Amino acid sequence: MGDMEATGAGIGTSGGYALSTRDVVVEAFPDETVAVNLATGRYYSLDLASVAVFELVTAGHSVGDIAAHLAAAHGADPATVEFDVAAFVQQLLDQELVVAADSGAPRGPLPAPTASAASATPYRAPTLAVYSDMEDLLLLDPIHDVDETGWPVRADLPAGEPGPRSPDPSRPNSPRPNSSRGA
Amino acid sequence: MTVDALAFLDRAFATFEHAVAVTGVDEVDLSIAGDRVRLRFAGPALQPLLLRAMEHLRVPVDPTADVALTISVFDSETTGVRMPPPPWTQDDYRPKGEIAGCNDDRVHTQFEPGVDLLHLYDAERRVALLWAPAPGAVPWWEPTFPFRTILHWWCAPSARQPAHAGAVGCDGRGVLLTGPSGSGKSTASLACLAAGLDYAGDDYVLVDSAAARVYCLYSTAKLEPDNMERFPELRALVSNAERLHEEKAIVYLQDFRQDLRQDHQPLQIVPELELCGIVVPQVTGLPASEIVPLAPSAALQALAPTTTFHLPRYGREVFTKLSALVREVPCYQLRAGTDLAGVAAAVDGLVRQ
Repeated sequence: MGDMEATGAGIGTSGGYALSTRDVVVEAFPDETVAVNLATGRYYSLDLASVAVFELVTAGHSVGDIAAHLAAAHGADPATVEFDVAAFVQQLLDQELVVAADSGAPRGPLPAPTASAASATPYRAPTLAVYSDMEDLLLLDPIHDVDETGWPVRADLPAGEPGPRSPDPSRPNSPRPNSSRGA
Repeated sequence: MTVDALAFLDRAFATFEHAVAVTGVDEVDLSIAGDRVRLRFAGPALQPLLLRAMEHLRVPVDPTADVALTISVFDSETTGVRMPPPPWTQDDYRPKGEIAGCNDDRVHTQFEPGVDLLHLYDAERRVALLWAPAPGAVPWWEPTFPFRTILHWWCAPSARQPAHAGAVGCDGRGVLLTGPSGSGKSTASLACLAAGLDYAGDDYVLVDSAAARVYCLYSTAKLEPDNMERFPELRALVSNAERLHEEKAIVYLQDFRQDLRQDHQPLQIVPELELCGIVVPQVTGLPASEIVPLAPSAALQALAPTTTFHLPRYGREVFTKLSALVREVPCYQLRAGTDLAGVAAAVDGLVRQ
C-alpha cells in the first residue's frame, strides 16, 4: 500500500522550516504519527524515530543543528546523519508537508544530549511512508462543454440534453466511479 | 472572480419554489440520529431514486415539529423549470466539485462535472438544495448514499460525521467495519447480517466521535459483481442485475428483510449502536478468521483518508473527528478468512464481549 521514498539531499543545512499548516493535518499517537495533505490527497506515516526528527524540523531547527544533535545523541557519523536529515527534509518539502521558514528562531531548544552516546539507541535514518492511493479522488473531470445556460454537460451528450449515463469506460481509474463505489 | 454565492443560492431556492408552484411538493420527514430532517420533493421523479435507501428512517410528517435540516429536491427535465445559469466560470471548478468563490462559513456549493448534481447548503438557515438537470443524470451510485454531501456539511460544526464504513452489532452494541474500497468491508458486513447480527450500514454511516455511537443512514448493500457468488441468496434481490457490467450490485435491504438471514428471522436494521470496536478487515485467503488488536493510528489510516477525500470541504475537521474516534474506541484488525460464517463469528464474538 505504501512506499518509502528517499531523495538525494540538495538543500541547505542552515535554514529553518515550518509545518505547512494550511493543508496539512498531523495526528500524533504513542507509536506512530499520521499526517495528511488535504491538497494533494496523500497521507503519511512516521515511526517514533522519524517523528522526533519531524518535530525538530517543524520547530524551526536547521538541518545542520538537527544532524549535529542526532549524531551526538546516537554516536553516529555526522556526515551520514546530515545527509539523511537533509534527504528527509527534502522529502518533506517535496510532499509539501513543510515550507521554508522566512525567519525567526526555532521554537524551543534542541533536546539535551544523553549522558553517554555509547548507551544511546542505535541511529536510524528518518523515513516517511507515503500513501498515494487516494490521490485519484482529487482529480478533476474535464469539462467538455457547457449548455446554453452555462451548466457543464457530458461529452457524450449534446448540450442541453442530459440523460442516462454511466462511468466513463475510457477512464477506468477515473475519480467518479472510484470515489463513489465505496466497498 | 467575485461571485455573490449567497445571491445565487437564494436564486436557486426561489427556482425550487417555482418548481413547487408548477408540480406541487411532497414532503417526507426522516429521523436521522434523533434529528428530524425534512425532504421536499418538487415533482415525483427524484423521490423514488433518492428515498429508497432511507425509507427505514421515515417518520410521520409533523408540521409543528422542529426541523434540524430541510433538503429541497428537484430536476429541470420533469418539472420544466430551469436552474439559473451558474455565476462561476469553468475555471472555478475544484476537486470534489467545490466551486471556488462560492464556499464560505455560510454558503456551501458543489457541482462535480461528470456527476452533474448541484448541492447547495445554507449553514445559517440549515436548508439545502439538490438539483439534477434530469432524473437520468443521477449517477447510479447516488441512490445508494443520497444526500451524503449535504449531511456532511450539516454535521461539520458538530462531533458527528458521515464516515466510509459499515456497522453491525447486537443488543445495542456494535462495531464499525472500515477500510478502503476492496478491503472486505461489505463482504464482512453482509456475512454478519446473514449470520443474524443487526445492521446499521455497509458503506456510509453517521458516527458521533464524542459519544462513540454510530447511526444508520442507508439500508443498502453494495457488492462487486464478482463477489456475488459468495452470497447466492442475494442474487435474486439485486436491483440492477442488468447493469452489473458497469455498476456494483445493489440490494435495498429494507425491502427484503425477511430474506436475508440464514435463520429466516427478519433482518434488524437498527437506527444506532454504541461503538465497542473499530474493525479493519484484511482478506487473508486462509479459511479461518480471527480478530486481533490494532493500533489506533493504523485504524485512522483505514478510516480517515477514504472519508476525507470523498467529501468536499472540512477535511481537517473530518480527520480530527475520526482521530478522536479511534482514540476513544478500541481498534481491531479482522483477519478475514474465506469461510464467511467464520468471519461473522469473529465479529459476533467481539460484539458480545
